[in-house]
Amino acid sequence: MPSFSQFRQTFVPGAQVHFSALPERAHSIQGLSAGFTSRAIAVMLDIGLVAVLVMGAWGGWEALRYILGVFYDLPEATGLPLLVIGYFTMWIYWTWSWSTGGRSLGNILMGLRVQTNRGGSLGLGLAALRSLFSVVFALGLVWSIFSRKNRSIQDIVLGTEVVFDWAPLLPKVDMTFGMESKE
Amino acid sequence: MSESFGVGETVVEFSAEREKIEAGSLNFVVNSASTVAISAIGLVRFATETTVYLATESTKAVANSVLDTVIPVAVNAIVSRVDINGIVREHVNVNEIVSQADINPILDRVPMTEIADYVIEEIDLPSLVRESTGGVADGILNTVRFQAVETDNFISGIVDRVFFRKNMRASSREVSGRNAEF
Repeated sequence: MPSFSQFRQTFVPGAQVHFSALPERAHSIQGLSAGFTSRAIAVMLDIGLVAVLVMGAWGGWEALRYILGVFYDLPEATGLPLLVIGYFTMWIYWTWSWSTGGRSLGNILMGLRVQTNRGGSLGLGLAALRSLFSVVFALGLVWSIFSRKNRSIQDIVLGTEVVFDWAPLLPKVDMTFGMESKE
Repeated sequence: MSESFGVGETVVEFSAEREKIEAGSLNFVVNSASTVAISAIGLVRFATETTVYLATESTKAVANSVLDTVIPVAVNAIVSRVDINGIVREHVNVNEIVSQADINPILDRVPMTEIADYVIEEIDLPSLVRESTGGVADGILNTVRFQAVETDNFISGIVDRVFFRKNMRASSREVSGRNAEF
């Protein structure tokens, strides 16, 4: 246990006392590419979310039609149209969540983040492309089982990757004492 | 009034005008004499004052230089024979003096943030936060995440073995390396 004067001698002004409240075991995998299972679960969670949203909206719409009785002249959206709406919603949702922080709800829960190969965040265009590719060809994810770097087809084509980033749901305490910022 | 004058002697006649002239010259003499006398007195006074001043100052200077050399030696000789700490301890109420001191300038010099860093380091605040925030929900979430990671490692282990890959994937290498420690 060093005394304060000893601590002071070794203390570097402006140094950050930085830690996150992650479990010890999870520290080493942060930032590494995530495998198939995590990503598949995340995708299923997202699909579930969108399904609930779309079905809920559809149910509400049908209830409205039934109660008010004034929309009967409009065609019913069931079956294929509903599926198309679902795909479209999925596309919009993934585009939105990947371009704003790289996480959908499933990604947040599974501790994943979508980023470019260089580690940057996805722009709106790239996010829209990847999202569309993933919606249309979801099976591309299976390739991450075989890829050495856990890449799906979408990742290989668009130069993106999915990494572990567990921190945001856990309280991340950034103890940065700005020693230089004496304003 | 009658006076006898010899032959050839100048007869001095006292007229009113001559008397005036005599009185004027006498006045001039008296004035000059008094001026000279006053000047002389002033000169003497100035000389005296200057002398006294110079004498005083030089004496002071000499005395000061003597004191400058003597006093430190003398005081040092005295102080070194006296236990000042003991005197202060016995006769001075240190607490009262300290209580009167203005602590704000002192606190301004205290490195607060460094102390805060030190305290955080010493009580290991990170682990306290980790333990206190690790609620049930976090536990479940982390369990699910770890299960997914383990499953991935299992699958990728099989796949990599099937393809005769020598190197494990990064995440499974890290996690299995970690598991070996636990």
